[in-house]
Amino acid sequence: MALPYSFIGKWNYTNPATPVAVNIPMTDKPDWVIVKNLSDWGDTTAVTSIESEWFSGMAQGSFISMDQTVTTNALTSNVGTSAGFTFIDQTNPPTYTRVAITAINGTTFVVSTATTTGINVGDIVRLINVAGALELSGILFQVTAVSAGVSITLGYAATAATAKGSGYGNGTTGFYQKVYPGFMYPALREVLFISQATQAKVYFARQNDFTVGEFVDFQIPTPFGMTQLSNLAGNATNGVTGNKAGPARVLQVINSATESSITLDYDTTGFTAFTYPSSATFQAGASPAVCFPAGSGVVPSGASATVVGSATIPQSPPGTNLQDAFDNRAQYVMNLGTSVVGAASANMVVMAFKADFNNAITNA
Amino acid sequence: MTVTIASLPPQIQQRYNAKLLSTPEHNLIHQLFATPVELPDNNGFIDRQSRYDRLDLFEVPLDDAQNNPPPQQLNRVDVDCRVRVYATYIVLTRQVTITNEDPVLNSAAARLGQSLRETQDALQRDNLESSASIINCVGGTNGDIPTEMTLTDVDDVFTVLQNNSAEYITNIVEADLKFGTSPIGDAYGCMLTTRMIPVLYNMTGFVKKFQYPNISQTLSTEIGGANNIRFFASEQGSVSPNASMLGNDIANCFVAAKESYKVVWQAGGKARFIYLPPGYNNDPCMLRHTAGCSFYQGQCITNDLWIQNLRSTGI
Repeated sequence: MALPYSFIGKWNYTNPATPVAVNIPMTDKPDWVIVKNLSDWGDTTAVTSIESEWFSGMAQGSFISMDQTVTTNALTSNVGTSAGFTFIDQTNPPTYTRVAITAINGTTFVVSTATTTGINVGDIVRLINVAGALELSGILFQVTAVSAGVSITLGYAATAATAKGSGYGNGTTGFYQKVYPGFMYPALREVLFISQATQAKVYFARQNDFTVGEFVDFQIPTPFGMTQLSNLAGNATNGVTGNKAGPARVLQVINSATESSITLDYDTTGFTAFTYPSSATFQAGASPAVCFPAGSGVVPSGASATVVGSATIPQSPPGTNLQDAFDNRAQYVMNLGTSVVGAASANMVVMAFKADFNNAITNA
Repeated sequence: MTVTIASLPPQIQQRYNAKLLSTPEHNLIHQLFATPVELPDNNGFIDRQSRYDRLDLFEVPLDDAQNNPPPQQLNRVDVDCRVRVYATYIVLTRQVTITNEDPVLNSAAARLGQSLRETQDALQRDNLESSASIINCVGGTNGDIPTEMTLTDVDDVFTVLQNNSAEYITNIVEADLKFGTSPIGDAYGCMLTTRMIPVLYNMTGFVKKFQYPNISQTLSTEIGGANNIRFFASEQGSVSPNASMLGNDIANCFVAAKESYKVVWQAGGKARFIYLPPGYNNDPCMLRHTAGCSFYQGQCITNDLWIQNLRSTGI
């Protein structure tokens, strides 16, 4: 016997012209999820999956739905086993199978593959054993474009290549694998490039969660060149450039559609240029270059998403950054695949419910 | 009716042995070296601690004019840690508790306690996995990056921590006149998955715990040591699936020095067991018990130089 369903929440979204999968964060594990198309319900448009449902016990990716037909003015039932509802507990995410790739362009970061099923813009993928570009293997990249059955594009890495002024290795065969990264905040990021500038800019392969005013530190192994940026928290004043003691303060954070970067209150003009090891050098033994959180700081003057802040002047009155506190940001997520996400440009509503079972004990 | 073994009623064939079987419990290792901090009630939910950065050395003497030297700037770094609330519960019908010979609620309490402690441990593990700096093992021969862990990798991470002025967790285990034993140096603590045990046991220079000259100051979770690192293993140690260059699983082995990370507990929100008898929670006919547990916890790295994620394959 179950007690009545309790309401978890309601969410609204509007589909773009070409609908993509949508992640709905939830505060609890749902037992019943409904998605409805509010724009087309009851009109004379033929719409697939005008209402879709998922119950606990159904397989991952499956769905039942109703399609709206024009000629009969009726709803018809439908069922599917893929691109439907996929529940994700971020603390225990599913493991996806690896998918073969045939080529990767180390400048544009277009990854050629015949299989793009289940991959959407925003997904995180890991490249594995890429012949000719082993230095890219193991790193987590974010997908910025998908050409079904042809390729996926890792646009954040392409932006880093542009900033670097030269590409990374061009790969041939290998694999990609979809993954869900950790949920603890703030998290380290693999570094793809660091500029030599009075306010150094650091590029990443996926969106970052650093915040303006936060302090960050680095581990830059020898093959990457700019080793002077390693382990800043132990430094007193850096004699070469007169940088202040300790880790570097973040002046600006960019997380656009194709660029993930932070600008630092740190002068790297006198440092060794940042390079990226070749495939052979990486294979011979290397650690990744990483940027990781080192502390919280006051927000610099003028800092915003587009304006680089002052290197020395804090906001007045001081802006204390509480958004960079170490935190657990795990959530339950219901992924709405393209079979249930709804029609193009439609306003959609999602409702989720939870059944409170009197579970007794199994085998009792 | 002929009475045979086969025709005996089930109640005669069977007795219920009231001594319960053990439930598997994971080793709790990830809080071993964490600095415990208590956040007082009514003081918000973010604990802030600060550290002042080092100052420059001043080796240039003052000249004969005795002019004051230029001043130095004192810098401070704050480390913030947000405390979150965690809770779970089970529901037992009164029918279960009054018909079972076994005291089910007692077992419920024990299992809730285990779940709570393992959750606390896993939260710290996930925090270290997300935020700790990375060093790949490269001394092995399995052709992957990272390779399997070797003594040179252990010495590399030890050197990094020494270069960063990190303090030891444990003191030296001195040599003794006992056959088959070997001393262990002043050591940092390494937390890793039990899947690493074969890698460690194959490592040249690894000293198993039973080979210590003195095991009076060891924990049951300790596997052994190598030069200046002592290893502690858990079934729920951190593993990144398929994350190596060749797509093999990576063991995240967290090597910690003193005061490198912390756990924050809310003063009024420490681990507690909550039992509600039938009649609560919209239960007018008094049909259900609930047993729950909750805790408040935050976890963070307090000095990024003093904890390293030494990544190894071969598991």
